[in-house]
Amino acid sequence: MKRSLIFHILAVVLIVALLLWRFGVFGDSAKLSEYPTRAIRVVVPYPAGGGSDTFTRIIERAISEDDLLPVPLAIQNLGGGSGTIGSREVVEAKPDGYTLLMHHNALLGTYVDGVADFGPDDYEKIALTGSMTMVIIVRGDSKFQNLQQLLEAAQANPRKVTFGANQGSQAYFTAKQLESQMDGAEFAMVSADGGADRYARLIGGHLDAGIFALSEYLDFVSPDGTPPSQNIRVLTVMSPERHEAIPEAETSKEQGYEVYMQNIYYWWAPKGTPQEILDKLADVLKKAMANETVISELNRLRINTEYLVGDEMLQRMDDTLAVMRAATTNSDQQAKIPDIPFFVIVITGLLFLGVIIQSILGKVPEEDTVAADDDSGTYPTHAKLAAICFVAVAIYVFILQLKILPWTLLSCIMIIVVGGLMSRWQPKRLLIVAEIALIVSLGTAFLFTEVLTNVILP
Amino acid sequence: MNEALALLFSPWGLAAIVIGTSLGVFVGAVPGLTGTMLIALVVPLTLGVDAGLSMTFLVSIYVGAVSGGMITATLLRMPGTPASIVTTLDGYPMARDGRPGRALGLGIMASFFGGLISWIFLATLSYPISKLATKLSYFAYFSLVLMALALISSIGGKSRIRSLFSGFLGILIAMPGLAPASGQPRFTFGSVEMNSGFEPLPVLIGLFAVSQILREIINLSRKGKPIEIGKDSVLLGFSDIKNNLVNMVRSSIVGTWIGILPGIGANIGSVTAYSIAKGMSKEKEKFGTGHEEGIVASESANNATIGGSMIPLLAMGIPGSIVEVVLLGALIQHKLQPGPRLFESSPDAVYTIIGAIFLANIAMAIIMLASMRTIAKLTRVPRPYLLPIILFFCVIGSFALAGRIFDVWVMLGFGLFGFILEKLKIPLAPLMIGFILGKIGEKALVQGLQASDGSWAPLFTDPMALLFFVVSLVTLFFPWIKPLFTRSQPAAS
Repeated sequence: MKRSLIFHILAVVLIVALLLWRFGVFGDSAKLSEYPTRAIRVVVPYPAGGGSDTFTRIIERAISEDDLLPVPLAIQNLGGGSGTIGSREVVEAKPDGYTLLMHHNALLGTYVDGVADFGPDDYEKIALTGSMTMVIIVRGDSKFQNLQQLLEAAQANPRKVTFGANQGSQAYFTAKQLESQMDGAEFAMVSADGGADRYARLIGGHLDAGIFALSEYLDFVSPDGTPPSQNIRVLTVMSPERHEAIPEAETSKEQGYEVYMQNIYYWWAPKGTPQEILDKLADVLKKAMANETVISELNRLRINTEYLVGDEMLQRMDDTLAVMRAATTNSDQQAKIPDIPFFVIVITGLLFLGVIIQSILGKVPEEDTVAADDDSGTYPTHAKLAAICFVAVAIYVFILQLKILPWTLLSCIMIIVVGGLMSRWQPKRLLIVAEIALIVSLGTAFLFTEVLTNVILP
Repeated sequence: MNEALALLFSPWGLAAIVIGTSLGVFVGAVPGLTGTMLIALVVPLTLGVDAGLSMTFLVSIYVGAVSGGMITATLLRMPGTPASIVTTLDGYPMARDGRPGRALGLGIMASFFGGLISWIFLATLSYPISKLATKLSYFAYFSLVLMALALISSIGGKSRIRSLFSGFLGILIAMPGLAPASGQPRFTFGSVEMNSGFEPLPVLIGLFAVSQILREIINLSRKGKPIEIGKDSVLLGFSDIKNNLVNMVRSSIVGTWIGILPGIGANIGSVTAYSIAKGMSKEKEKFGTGHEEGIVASESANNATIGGSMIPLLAMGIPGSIVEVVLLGALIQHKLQPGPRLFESSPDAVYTIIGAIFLANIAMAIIMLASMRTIAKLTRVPRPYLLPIILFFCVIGSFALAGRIFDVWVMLGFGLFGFILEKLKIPLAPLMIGFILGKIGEKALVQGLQASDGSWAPLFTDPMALLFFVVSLVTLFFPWIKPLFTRSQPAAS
């Protein structure tokens, strides 16, 4: 009795404190009246840890450090499908300035190649914020010393020299462009996830060559003295001029092929986003690009700091598109891949038949019944209650989706209803359930708005 | 290394270990709550926290959760987690005979020991294995995944065909999204949100948290008969360690090995070690009646699977069990892509994880010894207080992952789906493993075929690929192959 009294007192004190916080008694909680009033979601269409993700996070840190926006940028990594999953998400997003995309040239590539049925024209462009020098990498002990040798090998044994590039990626176009430089040269194009994956495949000898950003190469290359068989080497720099970071590496121009590749970072917004929002964001990005830390970080990563908007930006985009379109005239044959989903469906179906037959024959396995047997005795079960609770949670999620009630209040109600249902509305228990509900919902709101701000709440 | 030590021994690091382990022991002890559930719910919420600290917290929960189950297994005859099912066989009879303290003491000693032995394997083997992993060709990866699927179907359940069906159902569920070869959408039914397929975490929370909660609500009136911890001593003497040493080492190695095998985890580890201990014991008949060897075998093996299953996770990015599925997601969220690169680019993260497992083991032993009476009482927190909160966190966790309400519906949907499957006596673990491995396997196959220009020959010419392929076929068809070898001694078992 005494103990429960202490619990109640503590609970009430906590609830009062949280309510005071919630309704803005502590400090300023002036409502923001103009855009942006809530967190802006920035979709990065690649897994966390890749080049695009690192780049976006550098900018995000500068924006939050310099207070360039009154709200946080919440970075969301939606990787997969050569970047189309994340970018498609933004095409379909509401053009209200709360969903943005940070994506590079691959967006153009998947459009030109037909992998995606949407392209640059389906977005508003905010700004261009940097570009990357690209290099072709081989393993340290590779027999290839320059582009000539690589292409000759691809000519002598078509589709035997493996080249890591996702279909529709810019690297893929560059590889195609290279093939077109020598008659009959054809690579075996192997899908590869990110730089880390391609690196592991190169080191293991499962890829003959791959395209990396210069920053990725510098990140992955092992220190001098590592045996060549366990290291990687630059075959060619895909620019007209050598790069100061790797002055010894030859350019494609020097090796006799005028094939260049540069990856450019752009910021995109859904089509129809108001111009003043775009301008505001472009201005924020401009200031972020001038931030000292951003400049030094980008230098470290060998990303060229650039900032372009308007026609100058569009010109760069058109140039890239022209190069890609030229490369697609090349014949394009993919290796024959079986219809994997078909086989999975067939096998699953057959196994399902097996399960049915097993059930009919009565050979259903026994459950692990250690937990519930004679000692616990028989007890009533509550299937209906479980169903009602499940429906209650579903209704909760549905109202959450409609956004007609604040989620803290809604969550509180849900916990009380579900807890009440389970305790059969006994008043004594209901009181505790209500206290728990208030503490949990308000406490979660407090935790994720004051302490861990990266978490997006409904 | 220094950075890792500095983090682990900082106040935050120590707090993460102590709180994580305590939480883990608690959810492990409460029947119906599992470490997988808690870790899956915590991962989305650690996004903004330092990577090393998050991983320290998560692995501490893991260590605690695998260990905590024995408290209720021994005192209530209700295993807190599946990993402790076998512990009930001897732990409960021993507790009923008036020696609950000794039963728990033995269990804690065995858990600690098992954790340490497998930790030694983890600390010494993961880097060399990661180096070896780069040598695996695309087809070798593919047949490695096949082998894992064959293993879960043959060891992971009572009925081979049901486990296999569940595994393939998992692969099928992994199919929607953009196809790895062409990048074109498939099975998305025109829905944009389906382009990224089902996210693993909502699926996992649904299958392992929501469906479990539904079962808990149905069994709301179930009560175990509690045994109070009496006056008998929890503390053990040196002779106890000496007497059980062989058993502990053997069971720990079995547990570690089961852990390394992809796809199967702590519960299989403890069952296997228990049956081996029984088979090798001089007092076979005493097993199941409160025999010390039984408790020791089960508890050292289930803790040993932790170190074991972290090895393929860190070295190759292949989850060793369901918990590793979540940890894999957590690592990637924190920009730590498992594989050989991880050891070179973020050695401190690796040291932190490995160090945290070591410290969590120590913390686990101390926390369990100091607080098992309290924990035994706490596990009787009325369900109406506990379950709604967990449901709330299921919703928040799924949403926070990417800020999409779609994921919340996926979570609820799979909750119901998992519940129905369990009703049909189809195990859920193979489904989850199939779901994760299906993606990895398909990609490896596609890459392999692209590299070989559509030829399947490397599957048979690459020795590693062939080895894994043969092992998977043998595992899969073992029940039909076995009679060919054992014909000479009929009715042996």
